[in-house]
Amino acid sequence: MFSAPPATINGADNYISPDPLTAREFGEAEMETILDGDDTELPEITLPGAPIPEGQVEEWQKSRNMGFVMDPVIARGIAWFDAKPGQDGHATKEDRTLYPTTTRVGDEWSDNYKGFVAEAFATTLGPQAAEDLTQRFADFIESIKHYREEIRKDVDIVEAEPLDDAYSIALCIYAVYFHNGAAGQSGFFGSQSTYEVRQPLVEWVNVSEQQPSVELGKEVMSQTPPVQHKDFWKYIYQLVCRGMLKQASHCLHNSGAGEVDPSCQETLEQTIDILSRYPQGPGNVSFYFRQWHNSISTVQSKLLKINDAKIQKGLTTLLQVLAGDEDAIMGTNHTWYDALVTQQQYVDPCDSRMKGYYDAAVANYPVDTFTVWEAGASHAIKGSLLLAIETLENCDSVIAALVSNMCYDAGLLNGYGAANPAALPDYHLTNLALQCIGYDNLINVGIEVLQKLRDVAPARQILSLLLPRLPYDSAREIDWAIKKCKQNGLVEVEAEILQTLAQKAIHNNNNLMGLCMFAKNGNIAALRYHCWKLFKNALVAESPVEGDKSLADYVKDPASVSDVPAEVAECIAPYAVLTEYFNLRRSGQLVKSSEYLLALFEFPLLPTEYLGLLIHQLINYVSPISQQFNFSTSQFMTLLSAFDKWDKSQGTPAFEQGEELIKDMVDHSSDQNDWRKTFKIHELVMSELRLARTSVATMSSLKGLGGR
Amino acid sequence: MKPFNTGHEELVHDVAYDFYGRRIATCSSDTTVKVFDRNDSTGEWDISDSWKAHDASIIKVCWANPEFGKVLATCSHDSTIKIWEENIREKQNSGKRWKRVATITDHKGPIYDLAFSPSHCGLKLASISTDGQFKIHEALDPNAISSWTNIFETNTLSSAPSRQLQSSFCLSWGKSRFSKEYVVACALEQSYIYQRQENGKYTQTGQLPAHGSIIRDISWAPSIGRGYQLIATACKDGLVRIFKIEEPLTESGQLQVSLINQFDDHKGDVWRVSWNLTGTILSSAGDDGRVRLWKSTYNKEFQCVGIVSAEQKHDAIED
Repeated sequence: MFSAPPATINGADNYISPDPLTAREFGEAEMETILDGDDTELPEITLPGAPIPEGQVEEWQKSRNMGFVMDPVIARGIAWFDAKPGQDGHATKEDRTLYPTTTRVGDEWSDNYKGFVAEAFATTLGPQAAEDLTQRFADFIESIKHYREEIRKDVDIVEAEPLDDAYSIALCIYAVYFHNGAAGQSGFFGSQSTYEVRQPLVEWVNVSEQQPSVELGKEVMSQTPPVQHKDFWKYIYQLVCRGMLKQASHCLHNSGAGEVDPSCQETLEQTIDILSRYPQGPGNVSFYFRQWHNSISTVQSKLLKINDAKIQKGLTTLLQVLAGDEDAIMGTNHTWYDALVTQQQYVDPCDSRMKGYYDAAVANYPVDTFTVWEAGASHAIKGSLLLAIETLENCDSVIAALVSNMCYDAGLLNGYGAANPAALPDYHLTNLALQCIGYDNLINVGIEVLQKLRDVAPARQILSLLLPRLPYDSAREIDWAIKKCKQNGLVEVEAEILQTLAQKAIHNNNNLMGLCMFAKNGNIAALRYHCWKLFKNALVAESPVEGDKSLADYVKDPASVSDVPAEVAECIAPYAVLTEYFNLRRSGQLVKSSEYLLALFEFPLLPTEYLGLLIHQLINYVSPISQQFNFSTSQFMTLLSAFDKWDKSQGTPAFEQGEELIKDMVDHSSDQNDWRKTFKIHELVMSELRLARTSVATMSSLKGLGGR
Repeated sequence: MKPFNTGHEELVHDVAYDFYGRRIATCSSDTTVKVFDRNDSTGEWDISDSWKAHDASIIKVCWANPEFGKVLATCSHDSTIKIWEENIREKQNSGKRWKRVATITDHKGPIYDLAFSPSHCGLKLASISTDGQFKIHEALDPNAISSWTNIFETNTLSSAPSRQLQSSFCLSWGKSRFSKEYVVACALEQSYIYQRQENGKYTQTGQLPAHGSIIRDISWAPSIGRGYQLIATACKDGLVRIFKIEEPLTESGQLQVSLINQFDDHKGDVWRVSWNLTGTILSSAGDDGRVRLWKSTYNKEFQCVGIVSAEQKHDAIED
């Protein structure tokens, strides 16, 4: 998990939120210290197929070392063994093996959790997230609740503990800062005219620690009469303190107190009536609450008429609690949070009183700082929101990230003295995004989270690293990537993606698509190169490129394919002519095919290295015996000029490349009896050149003679 | 994730992921290179092709950015670098799928490391050999990868290392497209950072503080939103070191290099360091048979967050 912010020195108000991106460095003084780790505290996994026998590391390290490389995208890597210098020797099976492994150690997200992350993102940051912050937080709480219920089916309580703690702290922050539309308005402790915090506060306490227990309830109410159970009144007080007034009324009604002491019946019924009339709100309940308190004093005046001392004491204390008597409240509760919510409900439910109630509660019952949810909630209630988020992060970094982001949106992170209050949520969201992009199926979530950062610089940098590395297999995915680049001003990244996609298309034999992408990306050099490469491949194979129907359709009829840039049409021309040449030759139209072949010699930018291959093709047409090929004088001149150019290039890289291509062509021939295979390549090249030159010269002479 | 036999007959010296992490290339003393494809449905690695690539042990293999096609480079004890391009017209496992498109022969000794530059720097290949010669070659036309020009070379050693002593040479390119072009080269205990100037020439612009012993590996971190860069080294003295690199304010200034963390947890030689995509997690592999994962905390200190052990443990959680 990601680490927490450093602890504060003087409490929350002095906490300066460190900006992980721009603030000065922390801990410079310790930089030179060699940090000696203690492995016993670190999460450790064993490499799948771990090759070193237990206890044999020292023996192993005498001759071997370990290599490891991380996957460039996902959180995994590959380990292997290599030899120590001078220890090569025989390679064992283990030496010849690779060991893939995850690099998530101790923080691997389960599928359930990944589902929760996706849902939590959608609830709080996605396009469907509620506009209203309170509603958004409430939806988020529901997501956590749902996930918590899911995992409780599968894992034991201990494993779910951090989530329970996180849920409790998040719920407390919601209760204190976001309840009923309070987000960003009532501020830190609510206003003097709102009475909304008590209900979510009670809910928070009830979720965090279930009291009274179901077992106690069953035990008490199964006694006859229940009122005589030793814990009856304790049970009633707990119900009342936890806001379960209906249940308390029901228990009092069925307590059997009236049968035990008929003198309490009237007071009992009036107490039950008081419980049922507790002013729940919503809205400003100040007036109703005062009226309700007054009605309690009426009932209290009748307590002395009760004969049974235990019943009298029980009802007296209960009415004191309801009347907001601080001593009674502190006496009936045993924790600060119970004391807090009891005061909030029965002293005066005004939101602005909460801080006073909290102070009184912790003065009587200190916060157990070793209980995570208590510590976190306590920070939240006393106004140390940053510390609350820090505690939350120790439980669950995802929940912490989303909560801190909503707190920032509500303006709750202002006023902590930080130069940039957005640094904290940005830090959390960046970490969340980085964790997400380590999982194949959460990469999209990670990218969307990055889009929410207020400081766009890290988002741009991460996206510039990540976007080019994602495999885009459909037009929709490509459009999405381009859109992300445009949104983030990543012009170079966009070009890199298009360039890579073009290369990929070419590699996958979708040549026309690749060429169009090069053209649209403005990379004319690449377009030219690949067009000539197609030309070369066809010449070597002595056939048009196979398996690319789009390209075949296009060169046959350019009008049949739409959206092809003009640059492609221009650059593909030599290949188109060559294709037509091969097609005509294959269909036996030799004379017509010769015209296309001659046209190729006339391309002004024809690379020299291809001349050898073209001359090889020409051999079939330049027999002086044959009269069917009627070349013009200028065509003879073009050919003779090409022969000279090829001849003169001997000793240059172009000629060597040309020879290499002819070798490839000969090798490519599937005919084992191909006569060309009996020649050394250079001999073949030179003999073909001599033959072509002689034949063309003869034909030229004959034509000249005939002309005379 | 299951271990798998590479089919190499000798020791494997290097494993390199392609840009997407979907393919790996391995090289070995058996003079062959092998390429494996990750099978998305099974998660296993299927061999795509294997071929004899050099006349001696192959020390390193690396992939070019896919922007330049499916291109690999290998370097060997035979003092050559070879550039290979995949030809999908050849069948898988035919031994012909990767065609040698160029051979660089201007090193005079066995070549220990090589790496393609990030694509935004063009198609460049840095390499370093046992005589300390550090070179950068460039395909001036990135489309024509058969033609490479030596654009920079320097000797990183004042004298050749003794044959009796162990030696190590390694290098790594700066990854950030938002900063200048840097490459760091290590020769024995020293490491030098070179920067490409506006006139296209490379000059030494920084140096990592001397290490206690030879540097086995070096890795320049991808940069995310930091105002500085990070370099990690693996050293024979048993330390993983992480350096902070800050760019000078003036054009002619030297880089400011400071050591921000060093860890001796491996209790022995450290052999490899490798960063994740975003430069937030560093892995180191050492003589303790463990891969240690280091993560930056909120206050920018790195701390070990997990261990992957190659030692069998019956009570450990197997992945």
